[in-house]
Amino acid sequence: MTEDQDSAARLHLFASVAFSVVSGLLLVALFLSLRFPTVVGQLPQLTYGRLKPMVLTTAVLGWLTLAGIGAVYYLLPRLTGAPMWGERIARLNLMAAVPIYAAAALAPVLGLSSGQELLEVPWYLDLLILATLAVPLGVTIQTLRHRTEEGIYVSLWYVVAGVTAAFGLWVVGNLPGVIGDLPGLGGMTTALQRVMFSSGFLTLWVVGIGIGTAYYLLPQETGNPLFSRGLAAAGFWSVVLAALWAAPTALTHTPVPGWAQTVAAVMALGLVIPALAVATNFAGTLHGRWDTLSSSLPVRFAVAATSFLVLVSLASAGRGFPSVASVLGFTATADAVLMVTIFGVAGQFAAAFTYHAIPRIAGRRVFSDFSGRLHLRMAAVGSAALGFLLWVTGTVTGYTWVGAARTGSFVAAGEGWQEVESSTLVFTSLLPLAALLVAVGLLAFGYNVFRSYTSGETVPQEVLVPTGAENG
Amino acid sequence: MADPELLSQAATALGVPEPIVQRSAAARAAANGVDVDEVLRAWAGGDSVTAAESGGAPAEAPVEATEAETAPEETADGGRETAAEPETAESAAELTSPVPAAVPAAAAAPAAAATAVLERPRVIPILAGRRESHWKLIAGVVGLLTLGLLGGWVLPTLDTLDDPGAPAALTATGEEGRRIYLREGCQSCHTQVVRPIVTDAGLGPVSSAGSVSGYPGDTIGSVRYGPDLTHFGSREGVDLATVTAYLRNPLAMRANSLMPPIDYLDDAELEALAQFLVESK
Repeated sequence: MTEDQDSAARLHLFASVAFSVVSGLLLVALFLSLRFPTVVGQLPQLTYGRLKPMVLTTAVLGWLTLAGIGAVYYLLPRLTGAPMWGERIARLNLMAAVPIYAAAALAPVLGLSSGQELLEVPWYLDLLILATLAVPLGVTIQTLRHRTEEGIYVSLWYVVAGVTAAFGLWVVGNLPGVIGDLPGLGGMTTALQRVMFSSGFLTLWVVGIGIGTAYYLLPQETGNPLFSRGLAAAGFWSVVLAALWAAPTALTHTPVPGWAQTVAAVMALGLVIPALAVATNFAGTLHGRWDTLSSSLPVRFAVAATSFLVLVSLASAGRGFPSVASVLGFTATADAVLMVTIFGVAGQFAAAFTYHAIPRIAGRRVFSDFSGRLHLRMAAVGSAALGFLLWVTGTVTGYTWVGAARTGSFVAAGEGWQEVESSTLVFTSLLPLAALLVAVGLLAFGYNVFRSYTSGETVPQEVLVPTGAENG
Repeated sequence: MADPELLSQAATALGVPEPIVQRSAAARAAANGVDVDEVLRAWAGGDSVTAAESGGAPAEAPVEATEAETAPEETADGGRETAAEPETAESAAELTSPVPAAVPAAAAAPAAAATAVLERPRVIPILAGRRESHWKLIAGVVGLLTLGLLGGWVLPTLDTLDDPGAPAALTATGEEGRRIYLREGCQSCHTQVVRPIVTDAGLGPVSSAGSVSGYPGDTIGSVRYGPDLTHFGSREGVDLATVTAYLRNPLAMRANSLMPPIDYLDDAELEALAQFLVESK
């Protein structure tokens, strides 16, 4: 009677929800500081340049990584037929991860940053973060080694790819902190590494684990089996193959070698395949049970996330074409894709899984269906508005540059830049409102999860691991 | 509040952690309209309290019911076919149990009791997946990721090493300013690379890999909410005093500027940052 099974998954999910609320509030501050740099005060902590890495780290590490790790711990015993290895280590890891991720989020606003998105924290924090990512990798491998279930379900593919990529990319991503300091390097070397890390970490870990959880919860919620394993396999291997190769699309037309830009554009197009495969598979699984769209909160979130996934993959692929990149490259469309990926795709997948898992691992029913629906509406509408406004801002900016260059009316620099700014002011002014919708949604999420745990109606929870069977 | 001794006995008998037993007993008691201790006492004795005894409001369990519902099973080509009906509920539970083989023989009896009272979830057979080696899966993932690292980072980087061009020569103060530029996140809104496309016309000479490399970190950036700063120092009217004043209070020099005031830096840091921008040519 020494172990409370699912305790690691449960604690990770609750911690992740706390970070999600903070990331929502910071998102509002971020876009306020972008549009109204003096309104939010004179504190250095509130400048856009310092806030952006804080928002990204809070959302990507604090919220989505912890939720992802929680999902891994939830899925492993249920899909391997073996008790999760190292439940206690996993709990200890969480106790370390929470302050480490919080410190990583705070580091840039305290002036401790090397400036590389998601990798900007000092090396000692990088090492600690690496250690927290090593634990889910170890737990996964050890649990797989003891599995009694011979079959490997689709979700486990994404678990394996996710924990491997998260750990491996964190190692490689931080290498240029060393390599980039060598004479003659830095610059292009670091930029390529930055986009490769960002693309891989977000696609394979943050979004990938979300897809894996949706593959698990949709059959559970609908009672239907997975529509097609073959389709799932095509999508999975496509994403593992293309995620890193597609990264240089963010640097199209820069001094990245031409062949790499071409390959990246093709691979970005290839990333549409997994998105469509996932969408088709989910639609097929829901076939005959579309009623769950109105009755099941997790299904609604999963469907919303999948819709955003398809949109983001199309947008990314489009931006990868050299002709499109010559207008949209270096515009806010890059942030449109980034923000929707985080808050629209991964955020909704994480919410779907959290709502699915709470009753099963906490023994409490989700407290308020109303709050859940409010969360969904606010987060989905907010993410869509954020993506739309940033995309329009970027498109208008790009065409303003093109128009200025063709007519010779002004150069997009110095005084000429005011022309560019004034053409997008109306859109950037609305960004804080869109962020506010996301934040309200996440506040409803936090409230709902907190009340579920403290006041939710008690219900029997899943029991998977007999006493003494834990081998960790 | 449940009797701790009863709770402990029930947990031991069921082979399930106490917190879970406690929560489940509370739920079962509420569902059946009986006292928690009564439920625990029954469990401690190896009995179960069935839902049929329910007299109170039913606790609608969000976890799946225990009935052995069969789901269509996927065929090799991805289609569906109907799975064979399990012979008994027991055999179905065994088939779908996430941990059938992990139950030690000695614990089999209490575990069965736990199944009865705690409502072991139905796991859809298809979630069992198809037989395959996890080592092959891991090897496949690692192999493709390694290939991706080569194609997405290593090979393009190697290809840029012999690119002509040299970065702007920075003084020690300029280099310090570059570090501050990165630290303050200036690259979140500004780029330092000129591309050979129409949108960058008039921004100065097109950048080569050599001209944007050579110093630690990367000021290339990815979004322009502000102008490109590659050749900022070559622009008309740019000098150290003007740039320093602008960084301190951009609105004083340009109405509606989205540039935040960087006046929180001390004088030395502000001047170093301005020096870096002036030396960016």
